[in-house]
Amino acid sequence: MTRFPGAGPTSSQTPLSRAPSGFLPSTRDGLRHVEHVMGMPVMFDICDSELEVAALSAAVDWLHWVDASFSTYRGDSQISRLNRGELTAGELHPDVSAVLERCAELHQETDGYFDIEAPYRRGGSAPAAGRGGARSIEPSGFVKGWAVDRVVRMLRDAGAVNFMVNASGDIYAAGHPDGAGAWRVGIQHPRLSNEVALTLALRDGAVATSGTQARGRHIADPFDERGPTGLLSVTITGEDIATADAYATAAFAMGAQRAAKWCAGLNGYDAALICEDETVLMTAGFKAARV
Amino acid sequence: MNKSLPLAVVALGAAAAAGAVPATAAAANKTTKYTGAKETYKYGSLSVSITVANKKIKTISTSYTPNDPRSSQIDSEALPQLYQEALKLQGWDVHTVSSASFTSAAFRQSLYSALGHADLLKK
Repeated sequence: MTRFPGAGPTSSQTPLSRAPSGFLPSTRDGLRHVEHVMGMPVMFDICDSELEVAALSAAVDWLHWVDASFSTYRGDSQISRLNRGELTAGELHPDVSAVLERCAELHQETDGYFDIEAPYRRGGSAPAAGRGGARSIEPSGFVKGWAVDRVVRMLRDAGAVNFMVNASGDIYAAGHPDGAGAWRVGIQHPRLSNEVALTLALRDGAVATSGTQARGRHIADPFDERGPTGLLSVTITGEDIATADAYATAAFAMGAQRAAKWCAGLNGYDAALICEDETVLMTAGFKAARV
Repeated sequence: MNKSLPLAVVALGAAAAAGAVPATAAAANKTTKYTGAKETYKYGSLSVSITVANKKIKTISTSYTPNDPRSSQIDSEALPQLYQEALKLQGWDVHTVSSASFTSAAFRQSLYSALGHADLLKK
């Protein structure tokens, strides 16, 4: 039985301290913390001075639980065991099932461009087939955003109002950064080192960017081996990080022409496409949010 | 589970507790940007920048140089539903930066070196 931190008593051997050494006073009232989990740095900037440190500890515990349960780099994770055919769909933790259902929905919404089977289909090493039901899925990208969305809810439930979480470039910002105004989020320039290309005012919303700049061409077009063309990066804003990130990943894989048409039809989410000719295509909502 | 990672502790703890005087006695409220060493990793290189005022970190941001920048023209068909404009630089007056994802190891190395430049590492 997998322990579910954040929804019950925490592990008995290491009760959470009220002031673990990883959390510290920030530049202003509140907490600032960097946690390295799921292979990425997750930065917390919490402005509410009254928030209990234990709330942040619970959020961090949750991220480590997700890492253990979902990572395809861990042989004992539920995803790895599902891929080997050692677990059936019915034996999965409800959260794991929910993630896979949402991934299937996003596959439909993105005309197949968001595809958690693509990494294996394109030259990746598929896991050895186990007994019946073996799968070849790699949902890690979606899981990171989904986990941070849950962390946002946990912080809100604990009373946090003004805070920001940056998980390896995907961001959720809530309330105000300095008692007033909106969080200003820079969008990384895809070609120029050390530069911001666009700045957004963000309040109670998510931003996710996909592109070539950080990890090389890690996004595969599931329908074309040559990979996507015409785009340097795609930024999506909206209600939750997981959806924004999946949309950004899918739109980037589509390439410029298809992505432009697809993004123009988004509902509840906005987009900015940075093209290889260094033009930017923006939806009306994105343009309105620019600083 | 490295939840007590020393990273941020070292930086802000040193500033808060020791109260070490910076090498250059900066005027109050002056914000200075420090950029860490460029660290290479699988897909390119990155460097972490911090802005510091009164010995405390105000912002952390990261920039990247990919190994494999592509350059092909797009058949730019401006769509009526989308606004089009030229990409231009906007400066760093931001709280955080959204970017494609990056890994922890290179980030940590570069951040440490930026903290060193800012004289925020515990001696």
